[in-house]
Amino acid sequence: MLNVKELYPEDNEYLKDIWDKHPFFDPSLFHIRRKDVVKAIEEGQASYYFINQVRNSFIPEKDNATVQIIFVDSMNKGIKAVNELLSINFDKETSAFLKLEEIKLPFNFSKFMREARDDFIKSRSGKRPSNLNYEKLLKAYEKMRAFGLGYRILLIDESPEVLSCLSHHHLILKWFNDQFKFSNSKKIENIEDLTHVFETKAGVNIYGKEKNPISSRLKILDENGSLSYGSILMKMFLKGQFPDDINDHVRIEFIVKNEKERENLVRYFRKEIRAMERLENFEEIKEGKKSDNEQSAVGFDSVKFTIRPPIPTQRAKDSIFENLKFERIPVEVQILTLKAHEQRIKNPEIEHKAYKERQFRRFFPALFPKEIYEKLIEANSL
Amino acid sequence: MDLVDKLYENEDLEKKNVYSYSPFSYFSPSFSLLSHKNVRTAVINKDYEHFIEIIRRNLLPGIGNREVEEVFRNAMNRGINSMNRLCLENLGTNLDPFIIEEVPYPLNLFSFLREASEDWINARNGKKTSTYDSKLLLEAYKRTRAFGLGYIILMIDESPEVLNSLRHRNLIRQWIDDSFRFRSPENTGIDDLPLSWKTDAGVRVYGNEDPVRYRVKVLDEDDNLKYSSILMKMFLKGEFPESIKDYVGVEFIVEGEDSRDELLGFFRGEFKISSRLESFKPPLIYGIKKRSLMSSPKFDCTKFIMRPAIQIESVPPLQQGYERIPLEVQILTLKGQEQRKNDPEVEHRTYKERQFKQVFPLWFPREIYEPIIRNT
Repeated sequence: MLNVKELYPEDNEYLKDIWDKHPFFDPSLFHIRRKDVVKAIEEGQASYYFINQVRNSFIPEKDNATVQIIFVDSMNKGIKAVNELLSINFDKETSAFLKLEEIKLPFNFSKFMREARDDFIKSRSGKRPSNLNYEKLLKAYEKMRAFGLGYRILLIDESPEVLSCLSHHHLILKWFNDQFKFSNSKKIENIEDLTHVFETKAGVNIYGKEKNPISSRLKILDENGSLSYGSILMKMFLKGQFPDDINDHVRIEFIVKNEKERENLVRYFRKEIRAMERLENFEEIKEGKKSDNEQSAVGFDSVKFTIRPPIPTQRAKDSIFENLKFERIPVEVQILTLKAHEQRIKNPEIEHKAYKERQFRRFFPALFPKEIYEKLIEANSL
Repeated sequence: MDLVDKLYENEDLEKKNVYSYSPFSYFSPSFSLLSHKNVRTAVINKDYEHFIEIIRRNLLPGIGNREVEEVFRNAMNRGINSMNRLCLENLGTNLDPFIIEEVPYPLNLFSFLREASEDWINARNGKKTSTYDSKLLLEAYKRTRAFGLGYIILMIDESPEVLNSLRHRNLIRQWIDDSFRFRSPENTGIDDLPLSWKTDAGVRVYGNEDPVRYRVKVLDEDDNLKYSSILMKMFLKGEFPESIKDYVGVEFIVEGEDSRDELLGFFRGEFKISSRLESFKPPLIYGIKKRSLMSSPKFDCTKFIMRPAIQIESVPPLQQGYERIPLEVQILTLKGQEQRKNDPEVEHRTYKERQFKQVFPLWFPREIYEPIIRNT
């Protein structure tokens, strides 16, 4: 079981910015004290205030029961994502202690909020922080956090950027295949996780797997194609970005032999593919140096940038623009050398998992605030 | 002040930073397009397909050469027509050198840019700026600018945000009508706002047969494509289409500040779970503050972004079947509307004029146009 010092960084100023953008996770629970919220709670179970807000914001024209079921589903998607992050990043004991309970059906929005408020009031009967009932405070916080997670998940699910990458992923991959014409694959050995090398139209050989010369992932899906919100939630919280600011909903990764080949491939992107525009968000991270992203791994040797390939989507074909059938969808391209790929596999510092772990350590206090959890963790450690 | 000084009085060196980014750079009087190594090599080596291939890769994949050239020519002409319309609206009698001829059919992209390159070289035969052949320089500039315009217009046409605004425009309008249920119109006796409408927000909104003003940025009042507003915004803010959030907009006019606050409360209470309005710009105090250099110092309105959930076919593995599209909401009071109508500094037309004056030196650079204007 981790202790408080290990879980919470000394520098926690950044949390204020996070809670400012994501107020439901603020440990002051000010949302539950808002005038309109209190008024709606006091109106009792006949109040449709909360249902209406969710309906109007996300699920118009659906009846009350459907709105509540969808919202519970969204809260639970968020809760599962957080639990998954806990289990990846903490030992069994810690993650079991912190694990969030899923919200059960039947669900009554008004009752849910009333209970949160009641627990909040009961927790503070002692007035001073030392006398607070932290068990009750946690109960209130848990509800508000679940509420906030449900809200954020719906926001992700209904964002045009996420929907677009899900709808058009296969077309994006086809565009890359058309541009590079991967051919003459040859089997390779002794390179972990890679089985074949391919010739390309760019004149640069690409290392990959038999059926997949390039690897590709959607931020919203895990390796098995199931919805996965951990990565996008962490980005939203830590970078203050909403889905429309995020440019790596789709990422394509190339692995090339060495730095010279990487330069050749970048040159091909610059001169042949993106000749009329800059490579957006271009970032080169040299071995042993930190990227602009302070949560990034030291020594993650890679080049990445955003391009906007023209994709023949149905909605572009159906648009009022005559003769135009394309839609330019942002894709993050990442290029690694074989050496960097091997480093990533072998060196835990560089490995993506380590980077994700560091990211999670900053994300954790935003959803498990010290103000709520400190006493409970200390009590549990005893 | 002579004509040249008057035309370029709003020239802003900082705004020229936009030339640092392609494709804005193709509007630069330094001819960055023609001096680009790849372009020079293509012209020297008579690589006829070089430019077509670039357009194809970036904008029109899988399309034959002739079609690429024709789609690109149409895009250039859409941009040219937008610039001409702005010149007609803003330049009065000083129009002559600034009206741009459309690019005629058929377009041979290679010849088009090779001729630009030749004109550019020949124009500078004298080497010193004072001995440049200004007419040839202008001819070269017109071509590179047209090329840049075609490229930018296709970027706009193919941006997901623009396509979404067009695809969902009727459903967003429907969402507004459903949310407010405008009804019980009453005569107001106000000339340009003859009717006021009761709404579910508990306030009356002032309008005409249509209770609100609703617009899609890339469409004019007759639903024809228009690019002038978006082009000006892109150049003046150095923004690309994906950064622009007001492709769809709605304007409410309410009686006074109390009604405005009530309407804001309705938006906050009914549509925003956290009660926060995205990109909220609070009401300004008339005559005191201003939001941006381009906006009027007296423009009095409240703005924010809503994201109505529009029903779509569900996209697996997601199941809801909704997509939230950004909508810019503006709220004016009757007083604000009066100010806008009667105060030339606040009026929308004047705002657009100011924008044009700022963008004019970027589209018709003084370095290229001054000798032409003086000789005319």
